[in-house]
Amino acid sequence: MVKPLAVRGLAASLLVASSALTGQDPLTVVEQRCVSCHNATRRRAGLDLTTRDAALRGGKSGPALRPGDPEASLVLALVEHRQAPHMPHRQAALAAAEVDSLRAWIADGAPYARVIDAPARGASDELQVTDADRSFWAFAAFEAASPPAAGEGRAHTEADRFWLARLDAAGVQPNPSADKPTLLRRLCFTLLGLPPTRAQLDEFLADDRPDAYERAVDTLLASPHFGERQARHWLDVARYADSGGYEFDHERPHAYPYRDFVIEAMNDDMPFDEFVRLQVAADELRPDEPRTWRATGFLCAGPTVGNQENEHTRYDEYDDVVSTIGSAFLSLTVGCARCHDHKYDPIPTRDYYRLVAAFTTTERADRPLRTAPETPAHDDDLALVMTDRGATPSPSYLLRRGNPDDKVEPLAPGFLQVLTPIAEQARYAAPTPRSDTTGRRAALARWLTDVEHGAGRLLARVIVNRIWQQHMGRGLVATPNDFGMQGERPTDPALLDWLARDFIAGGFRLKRLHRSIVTSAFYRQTSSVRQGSTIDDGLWARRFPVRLDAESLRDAILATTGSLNPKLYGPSVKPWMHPDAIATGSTNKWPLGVHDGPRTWRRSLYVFMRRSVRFPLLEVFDAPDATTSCGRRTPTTTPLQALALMNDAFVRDQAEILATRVRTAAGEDDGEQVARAFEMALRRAPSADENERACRFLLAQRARHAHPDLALVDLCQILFNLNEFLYVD
Amino acid sequence: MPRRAPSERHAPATPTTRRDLLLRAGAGFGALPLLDLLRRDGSERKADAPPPRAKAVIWLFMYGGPSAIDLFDPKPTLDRLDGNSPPAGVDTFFKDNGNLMRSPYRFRRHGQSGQWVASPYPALARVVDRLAFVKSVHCASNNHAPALLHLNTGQPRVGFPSTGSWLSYGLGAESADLPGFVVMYDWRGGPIAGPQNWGAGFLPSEHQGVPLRTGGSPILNLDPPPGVSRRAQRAQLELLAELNRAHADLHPAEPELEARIKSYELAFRMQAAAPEAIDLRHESAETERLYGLDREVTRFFGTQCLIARRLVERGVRFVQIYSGGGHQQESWDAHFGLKPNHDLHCAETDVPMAGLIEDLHRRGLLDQTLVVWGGEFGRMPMSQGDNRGRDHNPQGFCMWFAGGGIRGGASHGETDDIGLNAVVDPVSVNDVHATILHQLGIDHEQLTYLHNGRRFRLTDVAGQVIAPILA
Repeated sequence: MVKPLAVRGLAASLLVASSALTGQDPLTVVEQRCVSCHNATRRRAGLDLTTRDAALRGGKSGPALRPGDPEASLVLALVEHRQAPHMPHRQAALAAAEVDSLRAWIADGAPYARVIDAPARGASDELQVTDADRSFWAFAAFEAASPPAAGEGRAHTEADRFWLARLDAAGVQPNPSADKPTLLRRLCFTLLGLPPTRAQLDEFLADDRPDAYERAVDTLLASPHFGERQARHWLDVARYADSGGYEFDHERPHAYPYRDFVIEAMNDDMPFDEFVRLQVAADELRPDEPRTWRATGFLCAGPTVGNQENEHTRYDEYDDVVSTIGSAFLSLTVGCARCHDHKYDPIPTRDYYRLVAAFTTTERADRPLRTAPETPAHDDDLALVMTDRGATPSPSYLLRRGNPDDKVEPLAPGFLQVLTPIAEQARYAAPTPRSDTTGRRAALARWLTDVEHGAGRLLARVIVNRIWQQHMGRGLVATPNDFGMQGERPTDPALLDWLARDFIAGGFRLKRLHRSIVTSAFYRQTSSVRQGSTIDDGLWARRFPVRLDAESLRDAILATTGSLNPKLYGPSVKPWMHPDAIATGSTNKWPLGVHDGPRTWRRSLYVFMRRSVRFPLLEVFDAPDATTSCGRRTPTTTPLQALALMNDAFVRDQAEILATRVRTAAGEDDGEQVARAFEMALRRAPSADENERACRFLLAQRARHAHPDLALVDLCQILFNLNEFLYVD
Repeated sequence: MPRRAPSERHAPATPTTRRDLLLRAGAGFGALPLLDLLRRDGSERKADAPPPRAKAVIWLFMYGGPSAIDLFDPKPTLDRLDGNSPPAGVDTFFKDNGNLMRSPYRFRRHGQSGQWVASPYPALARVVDRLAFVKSVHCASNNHAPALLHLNTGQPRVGFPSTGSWLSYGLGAESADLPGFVVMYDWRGGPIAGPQNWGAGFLPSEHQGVPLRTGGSPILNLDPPPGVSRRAQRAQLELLAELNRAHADLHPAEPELEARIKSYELAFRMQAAAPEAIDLRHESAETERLYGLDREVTRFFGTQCLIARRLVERGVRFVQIYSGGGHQQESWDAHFGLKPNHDLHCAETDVPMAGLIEDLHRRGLLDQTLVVWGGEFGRMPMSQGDNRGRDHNPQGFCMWFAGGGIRGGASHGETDDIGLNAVVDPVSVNDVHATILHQLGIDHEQLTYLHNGRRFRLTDVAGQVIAPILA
């Protein structure tokens, strides 16, 4: 196959002519477009194109070149996109002139007239972050638009004006406001995660003041259950669980103080920037307030192997922390830069390891939350926290391809260049008030929340989008954990930016943000469909019914039957679990034969989150697995959900409890029982048709059961299975 | 709206395209197969996607790590060096490297193909011409949980979809009444890390493996509550459907409400179908003997193998059976005495596995069913300390494949003279997964899911089909 030397020499001399004709030097094309991946050290697809011999030897798909026969040469087929994978991989195709030069070169015998150098591994071929990168919407300065004049008389809030302006421009009419019972149920679920009580509904219905709705909102925002609901959302993002996962799945009995910190912070309306700072560095920022240290449970919440401790597992833990910080606070897939520069976003691997440097000195510990030295630490005073082993930083490195055995060079801590150029990062290196930590996490916390020069603007956009999503079912950015190139773009960037600016101006107060969203006209719309608009057009011109998430469903059942134990805070509980679900691992990790009662009838965010034995009722309704930050649950509809609601012992028990309540309230009259049952489960009276069907059912069902009382239990259980119960309109 | 590439499919809260709508409306076990749907939708399915050679997979997972050098990969050099010091610097889990240890078993060549099989597998040796051995598999961890996760999900970490979930997502289920991905585990308990091994990761949760028990109520929550007859439950469901129907009529634009109404019908059918699938009363005595149901030692695993055949017959896409449960001697984890451990576990699995291969073959199912055998790693050529056991070896171990377009009698890859490292044609876990997908008609580079900004694959960024073992 290799041509005789003489011919090759001849070809080399012809090369001048062929490149002169095409205006391209083929070896320059190879050098610039191919060998960054196909060289002697980095042989993608097994291919090295830096020497002729290596190219002829080829890679996984065979020889890359057939000297003298361009059309049969794999290289040409791939760069001409005649064959997959198209080359250069994920980059612009070669220009026609470049392809022509390669064709002529191969026809000439593909001579390597000079040595092609494999790219140096220095700083030069690292991803360079440019001002163009910084102009991407997520990193750019806020759009400065004031609320448009649109929506006079229709807008309830300033945000409504942005929304109505887009609708007006599109010639679309929004839906009208839903009726009061629908609105209250919606508010109760999106703010508290619980159904409305009869008393709440009566009060709301009776209030005919013009601001009755806003008053109801304020009452709900003041409820302690608000913090529980909001905490559940944040715990998804924080990949919180009560155990470590993997083989031993060690329990973390002191993890829950972090969960309680989140509930408290939400109820106290802690400014979000402070909330973020404490989770990253409470021990460094508040050395004299050990209760705040609970917040660093955020850093400890990820899964850990637990039976192996070495540099590899430690770097996996750093990766968990840095990836979660990226996803949770910045909605950036920072973790993608662990082994190579980020493929899509302007995040060099160097930036990743500069973030890791803030954590190489950290350790997990169960620490007492009280300061008084004379008070002996009780077990229930302990919290799992992260702190530093000392004031002297452990060395931190840039790793090649994520491999701890392949350290390139020592690396100082730092932040993402796309948000703050390196030259400006020194401003965050203020001394820490503690003498026994490095202060590196405090610096990171300051950077994350700095609106002027740091990540604060992005932080605000991210949380505003999360809150929008939890009230509207979907974010203004549909990918809440990815604001990068691969993520979705905001459907209404001006509105998102205005909300973020307003959020910052209002002191990062989440309750104020919730209020501005739920009092808007867009939140209050009905879900009805105008002709031909079943598909979401990104205009938010109607509301979409949303299925209750797993926790809200279980909580709603408990609330409906009056069984819910409203106690806040404290260690997680382990309710009854089916023995078959317990026996799925190598060891039994859940107690058998638990008797459910008020102790376990707590809200679902207090159910022990065991990574290797997930709570079946919650798992089947799409509760996340707490392995990585979850920005949005994927709702599914499966027969296993139907089986759970029909046959799960917890659901059946609750149906019995409801039946007892119904019978107590209604006596033995079928029609009255049906009316009471509907009222308790759905907060409405049954229609005449529903009443008739349900009464007929009770009558016939008594004959089918050995015990006639079971008929009413069956009816009560049906109510938990209704779409009307499962969906928030 | 511009058409998305299949790999960019999100599952949004609200259907935004016809495809989303169809997928979500049918999001039960009877969901339309994704690839089929994409084809019908006119989106690109690569013309060079491999033709499907199998419709289903049965993965016999020898949890704990069976020893390749004691079962299928004989090492005469090891016999010779028995009692000598092992190579220096071999990193093991317990870090207690004793001397090299020869196999306690005799090896013989079997069948037309002359493949080596050791003495504890006499029944399997008789079907050896249907098996293709890969003797050079390596994985990323010498620790059970990460290695199990690696074999199952392609990543030695938690949070990624298992192979069965990817197949369920990619192909859907053929059965409307049974889950697409079923897991059965040992009577001594499930494997380390439990359901994380059959989780759906970031894929929709409907694709996770459903644990199936071989007796009693096979699926969690399958039986009606105590005191509720099937007839009474049917009546309950009828009223539920009537009330839900009236509600859905008021919300004509919500396909999810329709899907949920249908899901109750599916659930009700599954309550009948799942017990039927595990009901062996109509299997002949001869079939029961074939699987070893007539002997105590093989009855449990044999029953699972027989149920696996019945599930595959009924359209289940992916069945995984774990041999070995709990820890150490209860599983294949032969740290403390290789021979007693493997004597037991081989005895439990030998006849059932051979019976499964034979039964699938005579029913014409072996051509459509890919059978996979292996553990999360193999075992070291030296004794662990002086206790005649072997520590974990992820650097070179054996798996075998049968049926579903596999070339029986093939052998691919080699370990070195003592079975420490894969040295000839090393095969990665990605390669194993690429091959499984390939046999089911999926190009492993095309089956992707966009999650947190990245298109994930079962095979990550690697993987090559093990062509030499294909028919």
